[in-house]
Amino acid sequence: MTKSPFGKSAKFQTGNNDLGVGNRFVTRVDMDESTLAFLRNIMQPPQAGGDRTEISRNRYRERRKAKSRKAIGDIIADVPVITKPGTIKIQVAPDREPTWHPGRDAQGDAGRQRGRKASNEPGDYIEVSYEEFVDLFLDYLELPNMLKKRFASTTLPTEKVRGVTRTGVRQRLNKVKTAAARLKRAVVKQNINAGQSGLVPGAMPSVIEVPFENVDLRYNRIAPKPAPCSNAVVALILDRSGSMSGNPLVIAKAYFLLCVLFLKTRYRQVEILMISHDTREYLWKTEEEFFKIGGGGGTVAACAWDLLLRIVENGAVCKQTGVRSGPYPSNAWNRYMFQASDGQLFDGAESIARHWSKIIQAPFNHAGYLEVGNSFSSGRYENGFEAAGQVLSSLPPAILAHTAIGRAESLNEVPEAFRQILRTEGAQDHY
Amino acid sequence: MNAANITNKDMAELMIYDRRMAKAGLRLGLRPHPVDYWLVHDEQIVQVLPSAGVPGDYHYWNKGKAAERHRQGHVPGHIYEMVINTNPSICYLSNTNTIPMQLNVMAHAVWGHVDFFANNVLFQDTQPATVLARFKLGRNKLKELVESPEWGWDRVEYFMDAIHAIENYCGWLPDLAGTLTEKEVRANLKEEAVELSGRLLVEGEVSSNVRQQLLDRINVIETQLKRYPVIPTDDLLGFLMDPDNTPGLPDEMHTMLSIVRDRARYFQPQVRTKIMNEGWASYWQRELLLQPEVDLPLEYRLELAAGWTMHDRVPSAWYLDPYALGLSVWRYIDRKYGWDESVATVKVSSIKHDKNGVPYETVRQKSVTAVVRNRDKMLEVRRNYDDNRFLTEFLNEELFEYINEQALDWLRRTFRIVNRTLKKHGWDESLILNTLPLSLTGMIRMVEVWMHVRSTAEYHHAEFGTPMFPVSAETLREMGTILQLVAAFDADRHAARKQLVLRTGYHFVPNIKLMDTGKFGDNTWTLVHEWDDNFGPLMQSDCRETLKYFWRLRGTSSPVRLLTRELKTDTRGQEYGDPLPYEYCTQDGDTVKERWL
Repeated sequence: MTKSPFGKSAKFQTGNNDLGVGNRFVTRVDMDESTLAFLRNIMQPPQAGGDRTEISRNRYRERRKAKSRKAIGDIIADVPVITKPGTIKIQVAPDREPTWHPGRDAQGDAGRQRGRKASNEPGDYIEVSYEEFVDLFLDYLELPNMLKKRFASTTLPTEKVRGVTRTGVRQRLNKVKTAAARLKRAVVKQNINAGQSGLVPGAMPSVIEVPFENVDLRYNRIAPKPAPCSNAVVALILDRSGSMSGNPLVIAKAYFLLCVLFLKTRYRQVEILMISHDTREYLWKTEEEFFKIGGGGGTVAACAWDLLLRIVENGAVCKQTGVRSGPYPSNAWNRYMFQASDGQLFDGAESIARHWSKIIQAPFNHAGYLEVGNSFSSGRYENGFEAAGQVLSSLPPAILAHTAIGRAESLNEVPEAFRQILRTEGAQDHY
Repeated sequence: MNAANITNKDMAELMIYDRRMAKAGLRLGLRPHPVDYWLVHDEQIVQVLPSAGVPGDYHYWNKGKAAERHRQGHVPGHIYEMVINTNPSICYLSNTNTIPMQLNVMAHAVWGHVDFFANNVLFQDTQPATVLARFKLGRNKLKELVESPEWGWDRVEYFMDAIHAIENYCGWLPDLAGTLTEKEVRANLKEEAVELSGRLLVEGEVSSNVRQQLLDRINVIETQLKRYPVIPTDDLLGFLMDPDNTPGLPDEMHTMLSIVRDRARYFQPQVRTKIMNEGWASYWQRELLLQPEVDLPLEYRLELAAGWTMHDRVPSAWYLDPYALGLSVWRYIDRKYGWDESVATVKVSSIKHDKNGVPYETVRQKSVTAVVRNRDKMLEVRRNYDDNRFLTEFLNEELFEYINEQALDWLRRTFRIVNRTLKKHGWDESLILNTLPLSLTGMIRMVEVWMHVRSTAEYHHAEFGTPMFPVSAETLREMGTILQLVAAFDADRHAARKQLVLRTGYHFVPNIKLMDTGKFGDNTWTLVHEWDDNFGPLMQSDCRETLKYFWRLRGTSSPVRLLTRELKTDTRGQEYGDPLPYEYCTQDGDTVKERWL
C-alpha cells in the first residue's frame, strides 16, 4: 500500500479488506491522489444528439401499420379524411408482450377481446402522414394494379420551355442563343464583305464592330399546352336520411374519398362542395357536419341538385346553413358530381331523370352515382338497383356516357363501383 | 438545443467537489468503480431509457414501443441522473440540474449506486468491465441477422418475441460454486442405485419394511434417471441455448438466446436490490456531502435540504417508495449497529477564484476534526444482502413501529391543521373535533366523514356554487392510506411485513421449472409451475401465449405441456375451492389444449 494522502484515518487504513473481501472486487485503497484525480476528471460535455431510438421505433411503427390496415374502416368513419390532409392518428392497441405471471383474465366481453382496447392515450396510436394513409387505404381496397398505377402517376399539365422564337417578351430573352445569333451573323458578314467591311478574316468580330441588332434577339418559347384549365370542382352529394347511418355512411365516405383522390391526381386545384339532403338541401363547410345524419324523415334529392346548379352557374347561399359558394363557370372549371344514396328517393322518376340530364348538360364532365346497400333495401328492381338507380340506368345514351352508376354493400365493393368512372374519364385524354 | 447551460466555471467547481467527495468517500470505506460523467440533455436521457441506459443495446420493437410512448406525451418526468453498472461506470447527469443538485446526484450515483454495484455480491458475475462490448456485439449480431436475406425482421422476431417471453428464466445470480453437472449427478444416482440394489439383497431379506423402503428409493432414482435434465432447471434460456439440449435449433438461435440471457442476467441484480440500492444511495448523498472534507457553502446546503426530502413528501412513501423505505432501513441499521468510534483530523483547502472567475483550491489547508463512525455492519450488509433478506431481517417490528409512529405523528398534525381550517371557514361543528380521536377507528371514521362531505360539497359547488371543502382530496386519501397501513400492521404485523417483502425483486415471477424433455421417453417437454398461495394462479390467456412461444424455441415439433393449478369456477364465473392440478398442452405451437388432471 502506498502512502495515503488522506492523513491517519482509522477507517481508511482498515478499508474494506477486514470484511472478508476476496480479490475479485476492484478496491481503490492503494490509489494515490494523482491516479484518483485522473480517474475522476472525466466529464464529457453533451454531444449533438441523434435519435438513438429511431431503428426500434421505425420497426415498431411498421409492425403496427400492418395491424392498422384492419382498422381502416373505423378511421374512415371517424376522421375527416377527404378535406383535411394532415397527419392522421390511427388507434391500434399496443403490441402485447406475454409472459407467465399471476393474474386472472377479465371476465365477459372484455375478456374475449384479448387485451386492452386502443384509446387516445400515449402509446395507443400511431401517427401516419396523409400519403401513408392513402397507401393504407388503397392497399386495403385491394385495387388492381392498373388502378394503382393510375393513382401513382400524377398527370398534371406542365408548362415547359420548348425551343426559341424571334419574338417575345423581355423576361424570356435567351442571352446565350442571342449572343450565338449575333456571332453567326457577324461571321457571315465577315466572309461576304471581306474587303469592304474592314473586318479581319479569321478573327472574332467584337460587339463594337458588329453590334447587336433586333434580328439577333431570341426568346424562350413556352409550349402552349392543349390541356384544359387545371381546376376542378367536385360536388359530393350525400343522402343524410336515417337509413344511411352506420355502415352505409362509411361506404359513402370511402367512395367519395376515392373519387376525390382520383381527381386530385389530374387537377392542380380541386374544390370540394359538400351538399347533403333529406327533404331539404344543406351545404356544409366542414366534413364533420357533412357526415352527420339528419333527423328529418323522407328523402328528396331534387332540392340538392337545384342548389348545385345554382351554385355552379351563379353562386348561391344555402337557406338552411347560410353557407355561400360558387360560381364555378364551365369555361374555367371542370365540374364533377358524385352522389351517394340508399336509392330510396321520393322524387318521381321523371324528376330524377330531368335533373340528372340537366346536370350533365350544364355541362358537368362526369357524374357518379353510388347506391349504398343496407338492411332495409326492399323494393329492388331486377338489375339490383333501388328506384333512383333504376331510373338512372335507363337514361338516354348521350347522358349515360357521362354517368357512372354503381352499387356497394360493403367496403370491398367500393373499388368496383368506382371503376365505372374510368369508363368515361379514362377514355378522355387531356393532352 | 443549446450546447450546455453548464459553463466551464461550473465544470471546474464540480470537479473540485468531486475530488473532495472522493477523499471523504474513501475515508468512509466506499469503493466505487471509476466513473465517466456524461453531461446530457434531458431528451437524450429519455432516449436511453428503453435500453435502461446501456449504450449499444440491441434494437428491438419493444424498445420502440417505450420510446414511442415517451414521444407521444408520456414524458417520464425530469430525470436527474442515471448510472450504469459498467467499469468505468457511466453516469448520465442532466445538464439542467443546478450545481448543488448536480453535487447531490453525483454523490447519490457514484458513492451510492456505483459503490453498491462494485461491492454487492449479486453483481460479482455481471462483469462490468466488458458489458459495453458484449452489448455491442449482441446488437451487431442481431443487426446482421436482420439484414441477411434468409432471416430478416420477420423471422428474427418470430424467435426473439418468444425468447423475450421467458426472459426472466435465466438462472439466479451469483453462480454457485461447486454445482454438479448433469453428468455427475447422473453418475452419482446410478452409483446409489447400484449400492441400494446391493443392500436390497442383504438387508431386504431381513425385514420387509426395510425392503420396501429400499425399493421405493430405487424407484425414485429410476424415475429421476428417466428424466432429462435430471435436476429440474429454472434457467430455461440457459438450457435452451446449449446445443447439446437443442440440436435442432440453428446456430443463430443459440446466439440469440445467449444475447437475451446475458442481458437479462446483467439486469437481474438491479431488480433484486432495488430498495437496498436506492436506500444506500439516498443515505450517502446526504451523509457524504455533509462530511468536513466536502465543506459545502451554506447556500448549497439549503438547496440540498430540499432535494433530500424529495421522496418524503407523502408519508405513504415511507412504506412504498424504494428510496424512502430503503433509507429508513439503512438509517435503522446505522442507529442500531453503528457507533462513533474516534475522532480523526482531515485537511480541507478553501476555494478561490482566479481573475476569470474559474474556481481553484488553495494549497494551504486547514485541519478539521471529523467524527469517525463505525459502519462495519452497514458495509457488511451492502456486500452480502439482497432486497429479500434486507427487508426480512431489518424491517422488523421495531422499525415498523418507528415508521408508524412518524406517520401517525404526521397524521395528528394534519388532523389539527384540517380542524383549524374548517373552524376558520365556519364549517359545521359536527365536522370539527374538539379532541383528537385516540383510536385508529375513531380517526378512520372521521376521515371517512370528511371524504364524504368533500364529495358532496364538490357536487354542490358545481350545482349551486356553494364553497368547496377546504381540504384537498389528495390529503384525505393520503390520510386514509396511512390509517389503513397502520391498521393492517396492528391487525397482523407478520402479514403486513410480508406484503412489503413480496413487493421486492423477482417474487412476482412464477416459479416454473423445466422438468423433463422426454429424451428417454415420449419426447414431450414438461414444465411445472410451483403453486404459490401469495400470488394465486397464472393468467390464462398469457399462459397460453407464452406456452406457444416456448414451443418455438426447442428446434423440435414435439408437444410441450405446462402443469399448474387452477381454480374451479361455478356457473356464474365465480372461483371456488382449492386449486386443482391443471394442464396446458400444445402439440403444434398454434393451439393450446387444456384439461384438469
